[in-house]
Amino acid sequence: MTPFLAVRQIIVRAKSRQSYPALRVLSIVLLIATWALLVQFQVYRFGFIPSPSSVVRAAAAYLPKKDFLFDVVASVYRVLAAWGISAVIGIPLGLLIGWKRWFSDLTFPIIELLRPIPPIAWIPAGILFFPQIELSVIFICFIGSFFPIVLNTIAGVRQIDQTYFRAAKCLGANDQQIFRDVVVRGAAPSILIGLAVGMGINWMALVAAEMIAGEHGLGYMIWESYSLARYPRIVVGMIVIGTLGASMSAMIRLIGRKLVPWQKSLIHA
Amino acid sequence: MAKVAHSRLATARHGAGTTSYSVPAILAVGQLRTAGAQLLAVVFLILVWWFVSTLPSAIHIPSPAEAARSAVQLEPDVFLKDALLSTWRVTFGFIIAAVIAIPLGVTIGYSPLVRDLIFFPIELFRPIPPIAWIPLAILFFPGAEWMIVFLTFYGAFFPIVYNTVVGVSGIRSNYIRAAKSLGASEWTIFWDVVLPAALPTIFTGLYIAISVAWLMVVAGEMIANQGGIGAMTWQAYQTTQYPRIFVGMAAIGVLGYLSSLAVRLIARIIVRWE
Repeated sequence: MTPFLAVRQIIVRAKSRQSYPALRVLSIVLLIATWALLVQFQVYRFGFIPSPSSVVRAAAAYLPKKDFLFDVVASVYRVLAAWGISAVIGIPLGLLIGWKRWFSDLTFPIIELLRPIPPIAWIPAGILFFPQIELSVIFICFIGSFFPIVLNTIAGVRQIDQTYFRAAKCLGANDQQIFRDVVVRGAAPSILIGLAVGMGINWMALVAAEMIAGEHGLGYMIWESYSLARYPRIVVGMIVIGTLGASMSAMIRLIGRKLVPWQKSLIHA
Repeated sequence: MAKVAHSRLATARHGAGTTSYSVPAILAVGQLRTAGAQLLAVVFLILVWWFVSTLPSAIHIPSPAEAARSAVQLEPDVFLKDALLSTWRVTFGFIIAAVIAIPLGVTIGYSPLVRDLIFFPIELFRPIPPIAWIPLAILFFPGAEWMIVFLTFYGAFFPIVYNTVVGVSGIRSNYIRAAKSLGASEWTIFWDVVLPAALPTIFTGLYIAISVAWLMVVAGEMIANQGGIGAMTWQAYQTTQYPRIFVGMAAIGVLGYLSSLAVRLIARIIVRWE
């Protein structure tokens, strides 16, 4: 076989996205086996890390408890509240910034100034400002999801072909109709990407805020387990957070596909 | 009619349409406008901050003047040391992540076998926020220094791998066929076709990664409390030197912005064709 055919075959196979489910199962088995062996034989400092079997035992002890349910409800509530507020403020703001130049001149520089400050850096200020921990945690999550939502909305509007605006005007559309039928619809796929990315960053900010400032919640639970030396429970918490985050992102993608059927290849991010 | 004319002007300003206006003049006006708008934004933000600090519920929030005074009072060497320490941690973790993630992403993009064997488990780890690794990282690493560098590495790793995979597997097979029919070797195809096509996407990944690395360094430093800008900000909170919190936030913002700018500049030098 000539090298060309070899390369081509690799590319063609990669293109066809041919996959081997057996390999995936194998990869998971290998991962857990490596983890177990590293802990078992205490390679380097792996002796300090909880073993897979202890994690399973901790999960069996923690998951049926009421505490678990409370933590999940507290975290999910905070994430959803922050995400909802970011969407309600961020989407209209982004649409206007993307659409009207004068509005962009007035507001976009403010967003650009604040954007480089990561949500985590807002934690002390958030605690100082809000009387309740609950509100400061939601505020920090809000900071996390607000910027991706606004920026993706702006990018979505600016990507719209200018011909659509002209066509709508020629057909006698007024500003309100252009906004509804050109701006919102044109930006919708990009808005959905922003919502999905925002959800991811939301979970990250939530864990940090709950670890440092929180009461209840999964991030707090992880940190408490660390302080009380219940190490296997930390891993249980990580897996629960990962599962919840992934299923919420999947839900956004699913709803997105229903809402924006005109964009088939939506959201791989 | 006037409306249509106005919209045409707006189009020209956005740079999307062809126009007969002199380009330098429009650019100059545009730059002036941008500079003015940015100045206005700074003034506006300071006013809002000042207003918030006068609210009765925000009794602990310092006014902009207090923050400025606290910034002046900072000892320059201590502050510079913290800033350099954070920057070093970010840079170190980021570079390790790039060195591992780019070749890994290229391999995954090329081979479905590696994709199933390595990319699939990586994908399982992705939904776990890097911050949730902090307790395990503290247990595993002997000192705070390695723990923080690991966190910046871990935060930067995923965006780079992902974007590299997307960049490599998104290349058009026509380019490869064309190169081959001109007699290119496998290595030449990789070096002259696949890599240049993937580089813009790889740099997008690096750009995202550097900001995640800054986020992680702040979180790690706040928890480890062993030097750095994040620790400085957290200590300011704990010792009730509240104005200093805002100095810390501003410093983090400026440093984060500068490092994103650096990545963008490097991208512009290397990826000249985009």
